[in-house]
Amino acid sequence: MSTPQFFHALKILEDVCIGCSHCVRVCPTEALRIRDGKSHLYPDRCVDCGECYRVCPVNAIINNHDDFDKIFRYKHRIALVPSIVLGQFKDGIEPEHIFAVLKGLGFTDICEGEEGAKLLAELINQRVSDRSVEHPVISSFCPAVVRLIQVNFPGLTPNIMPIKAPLDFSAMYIRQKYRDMGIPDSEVGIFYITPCAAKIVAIVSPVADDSSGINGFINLDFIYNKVMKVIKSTGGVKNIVPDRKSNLDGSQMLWALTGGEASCVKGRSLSIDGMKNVIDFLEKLENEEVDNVDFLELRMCDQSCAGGILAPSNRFLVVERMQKRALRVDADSLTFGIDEYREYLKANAKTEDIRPRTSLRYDVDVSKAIAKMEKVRRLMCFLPGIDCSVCGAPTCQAHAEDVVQGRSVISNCIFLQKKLENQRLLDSKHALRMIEKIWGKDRFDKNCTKKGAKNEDS
Amino acid sequence: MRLDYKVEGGDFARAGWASSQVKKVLKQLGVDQNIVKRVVVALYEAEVNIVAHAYRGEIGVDIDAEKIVMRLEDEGPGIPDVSLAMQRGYSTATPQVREMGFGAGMGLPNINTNADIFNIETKVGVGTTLEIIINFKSNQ
Amino acid sequence: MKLSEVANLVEAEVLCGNEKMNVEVKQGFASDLMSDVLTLSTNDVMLITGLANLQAVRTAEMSDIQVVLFVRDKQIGDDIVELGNDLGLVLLRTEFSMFKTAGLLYNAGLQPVF
Repeated sequence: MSTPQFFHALKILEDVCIGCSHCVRVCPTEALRIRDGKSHLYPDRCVDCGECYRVCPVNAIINNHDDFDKIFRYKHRIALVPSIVLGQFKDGIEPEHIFAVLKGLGFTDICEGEEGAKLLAELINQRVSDRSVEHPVISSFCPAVVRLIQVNFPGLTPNIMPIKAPLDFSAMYIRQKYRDMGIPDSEVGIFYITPCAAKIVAIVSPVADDSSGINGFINLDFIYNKVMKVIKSTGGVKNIVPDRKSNLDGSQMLWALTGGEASCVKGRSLSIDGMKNVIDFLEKLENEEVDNVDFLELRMCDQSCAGGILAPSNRFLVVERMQKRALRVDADSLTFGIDEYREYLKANAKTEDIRPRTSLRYDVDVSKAIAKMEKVRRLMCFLPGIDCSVCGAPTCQAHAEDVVQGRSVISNCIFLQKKLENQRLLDSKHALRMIEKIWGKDRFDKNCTKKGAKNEDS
Repeated sequence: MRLDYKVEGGDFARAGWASSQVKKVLKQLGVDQNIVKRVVVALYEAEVNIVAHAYRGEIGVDIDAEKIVMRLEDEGPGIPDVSLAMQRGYSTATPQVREMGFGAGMGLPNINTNADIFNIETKVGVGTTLEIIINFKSNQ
Repeated sequence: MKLSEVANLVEAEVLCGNEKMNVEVKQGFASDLMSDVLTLSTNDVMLITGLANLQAVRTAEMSDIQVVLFVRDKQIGDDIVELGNDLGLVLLRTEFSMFKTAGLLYNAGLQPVF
């Protein structure tokens, strides 16, 4: 699947965006700006964490997914279901009901996302015990973390284990299984139900250049709504003929939750979730302030995938539910079809080594970068250091960098404008035009339909 | 590009501040990670030496496209026997300093290993000046 | 082009920054309105102006412009030259009008910003 280098599933709907700048200020890589009254993305800085999606007050940021009808292009339509999907539904609505409803919606087969987690745990332990590789070994499970490291912590990229995620293992397994049944690839459509934007981007433009054989992806919240609608309209699960039960053991079921990988690793491992926590820890790691840790499980979202941006149910209730279910697994009822494919999966488990992503903060050429950095430091003498974002950039530092890279002018800073107006160096009308250029022409107009205003929602 | 830092003797809480700042700058400039590591180790050891042994000191860092030049000048006791000080394990750290985890006697040798050029000028009773140069395109 | 060439072409007096006459400038911007200068987004610009006061120098500092050429035979006070020195700028002064100055430099290859 050929895709542009910086494909992002998250999309800003310009017609809906009100240019409030909430997203600009939460982005961990300062990838967003306000221009012409709308939010604007620098694609090479985006790591697909979805924080912007979370804070947008008008839902102007969407996660682009495939049209559900796309599945009908295939004769064999397989839903690749990570266990986090099953955890969204209340007790009583069990995996076997959900699988049945999914089949009713059009899928012909189900494959669970974490069937390959056992094998993956083995491979991780092999790597951890290989002292010749960089330690601590960092899990590649969360694509947003991988990208964050590539952009903001390039020195740590050698620590990331270049291995595919459980969903890739499941996809490879099921595809090979169908091939062995004599069914051509073109008739098999595998569709991943995704809890977030990062997993989509990992599928479409994987960190390394491997195709994982997944044909499309569908947002978790969309599927949840569809499934709940069916259950409600049939009068509850008692009227649904259950499909087969979940085939995951406890540790596979919990793999995508905080601690799920770390608990399977022999050695000293830490689980860290939440963007701020992950960033703080990576900084410590970079400063070599962390000793003797063998494995790091890092997840961008609070409570890991239970806190994914597309997961509709409360993350703590989901975690509680899944932990209880994991204890109830009947080990005797599990089948291990995937084990026949062990060697095949092992042979295809690796991705290419993960390289830093040159985010070009200053320049590729060191002497040009020095000149630019010095210019930024000179410009910072003039900026107030308040990070108010009126200039359209998240921080004064980001604004200074934009000026040096030719993406903005220093006088977009409202503090400077006030000072210059006072010194009669800047005409008031000109200053107003500058603000309009950033925030939109209509920004100064009275508008009673704004959020919080008199006639909001009319 | 010129960066300047002041170091106070005995201020262990802030020891490592200069090396942390320089590291940020080099990272943003896109300098190779292995070179950055060497710079940080050398600068950190030199900075801690000022904190552990001297009264106060100043660090001047000059970065250009080819190399980084670090000059650390302190007011302090000076080093009576430089070749002795350069021996691995030899340390003149006080018990208080050792209690804090420093004073293993590896500071100067570590700087020597990581630097391309390393010069020491010292005068007993006055102070010590270190000059550390690391090239960005190094073969070490 | 080199600043020494610029000075030659417009018969300019060097007020400060004599040691930088080998520096190259690629572009020129001629204006008496500092607000227009402040909204310029570029490097390597020489400012050509008839505004002979401290504000022109301060504008140059904030916009990171390294060279200012005062036109129209204006008297440049010592305070302006002192500030220029402090900031490490090159300040030049010519008797020619702005039109003549701009024309001469444009013909000799100095590029416009827009």
